[in-house]
Amino acid sequence: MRGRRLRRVVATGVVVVLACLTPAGRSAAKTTVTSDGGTVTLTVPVDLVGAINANGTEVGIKDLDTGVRTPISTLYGSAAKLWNDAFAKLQYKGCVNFKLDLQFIPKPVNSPATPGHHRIELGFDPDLRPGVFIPGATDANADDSIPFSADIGGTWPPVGTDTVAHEVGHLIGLADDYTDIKDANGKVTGSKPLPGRENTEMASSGSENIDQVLIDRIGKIVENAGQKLPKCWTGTMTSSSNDTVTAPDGGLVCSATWTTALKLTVAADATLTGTATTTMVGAPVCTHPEFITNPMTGMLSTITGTATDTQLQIQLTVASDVPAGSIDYAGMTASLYGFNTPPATITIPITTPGHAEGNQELQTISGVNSYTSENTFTLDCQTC
Amino acid sequence: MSRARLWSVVAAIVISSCSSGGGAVNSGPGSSVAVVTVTAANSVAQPVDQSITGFGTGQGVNADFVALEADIGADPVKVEAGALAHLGDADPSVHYAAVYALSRTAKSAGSMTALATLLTSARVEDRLLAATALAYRGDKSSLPALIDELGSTDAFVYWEPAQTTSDFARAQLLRFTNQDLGLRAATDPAAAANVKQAWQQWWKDHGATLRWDPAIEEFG
Repeated sequence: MRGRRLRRVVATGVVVVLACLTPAGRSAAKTTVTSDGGTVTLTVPVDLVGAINANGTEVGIKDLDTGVRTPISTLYGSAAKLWNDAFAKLQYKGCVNFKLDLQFIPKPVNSPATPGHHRIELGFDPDLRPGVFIPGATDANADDSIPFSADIGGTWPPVGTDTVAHEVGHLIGLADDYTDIKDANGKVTGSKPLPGRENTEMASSGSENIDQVLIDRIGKIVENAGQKLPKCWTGTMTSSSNDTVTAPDGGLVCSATWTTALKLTVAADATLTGTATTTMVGAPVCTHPEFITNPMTGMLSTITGTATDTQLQIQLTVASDVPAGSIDYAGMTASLYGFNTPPATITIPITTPGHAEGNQELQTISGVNSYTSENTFTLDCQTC
Repeated sequence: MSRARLWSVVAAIVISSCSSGGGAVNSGPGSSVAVVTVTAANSVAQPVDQSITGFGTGQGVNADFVALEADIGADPVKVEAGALAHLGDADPSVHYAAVYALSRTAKSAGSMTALATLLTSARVEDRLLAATALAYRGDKSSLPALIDELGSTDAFVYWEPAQTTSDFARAQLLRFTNQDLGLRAATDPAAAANVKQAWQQWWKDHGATLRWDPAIEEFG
């Protein structure tokens, strides 16, 4: 159960809480956010106070998963893997990949608070109830962005990495997904997951399931903290292409239609990256189908470019052909990627905030041969 | 109280509290059971019990624990006395707070006896908190109470994160013994139930010869 604002606490408790658990100040560094392309790194620096013993070495505790005594910062740091494994699989709004940089810094007993670091007082009594205290939080089941503006305090007994992962969830703003069950007299008789949150990381110990709901909540927490996330655009390009090869024997003319799924990420510096997945609709139509062997049915492209408030400007570069080693007889690849020339620059106007659409013809000429495509773009920003 | 006097008290409280959590690093009570001489009954300290009697009436469970831990950090001897005084409280929340506080502070012979008595309480949270506290202090007689909970789907009330009593007991058995017996892989109560009999047999076969190693806080 997470913290709520203290109102009725004896004076002694208030003094001690202020001294030991509450942040150094709202201006301190706390959990921070940095972006690199579509990757948003959440850096969580945590002082583990009491992790360095009197002889200056780091305390080791038993890893309950292996039975091996392990330095506490190493053991607890392994909780980051649970989050990063999930972040690698699940994106926020289809394009933002979070990454957790969990930094546990072992400190001796009585170490002073480090501005910009969360502070966990380690107790080695297993009856010590683990927890972090979020000052100002009023609802244990409501996410908040306080850890992004304040250093958070807490106390942990020796715990497993699943519990550490849960507590780290609090340090990135996630609330508990369980609530107490009380009887008619108000006695707490148990706890239960919130509806739909059964067997997920913030609902119970031992649940190492970090699902899409948690990813989406983290995204909202970060945005509520005033942090700019990359702008994610998704949409389609529909194309009809034509390949005209002139030759003494009459040459070859082929055409085809294509659909392309576009995923673009605009970083804070306006640079744009992304991917394009193109699939041929049907088969190429050619004047001499007897010449067609191993035709290309699709391709994967990487996208680079820039964005402004009024347009997206992109270039596509081939990543792979589908099937591998196939031949594009219909001129699509040459019109996009060039033919011994730079790739085409595509400009898509942003027609209304968060929406871009337009048409553009692309053509590459190579000698007497031409490769053209008529392309229609429609994209929407998921995070603008 | 003069302002200077007030601040000296405040400073003392802060120093005491902030040093208490980490103090356990090198001075866990596991090795000190036999030499404890101060009992709640003969302590000159007055019991501290406001955070015990107020438990469950404040701004939420977490705030209640923060207040309780603050008092424990400031003066564990007085809280120990307060805990002993309220073990019989009819209010279940106050009783729970007293048991929790006792499990965190027990040093006196009277407290050890009280913890041993709690091993047979009808309340599972009493049994588990007492069993863990006794084990942490090197008393192997608490291990059967932990083994008994393997497989239970009862909630371990007030804990964070939410977990079953089986989950809590499993963690303590793995922590305080050098045994596995399939328990390490038994990450849910149903799986833990499957290894319960093996643990009961282990206790039957080896309980009498187990010795506490204070250096690693483990029975072996």
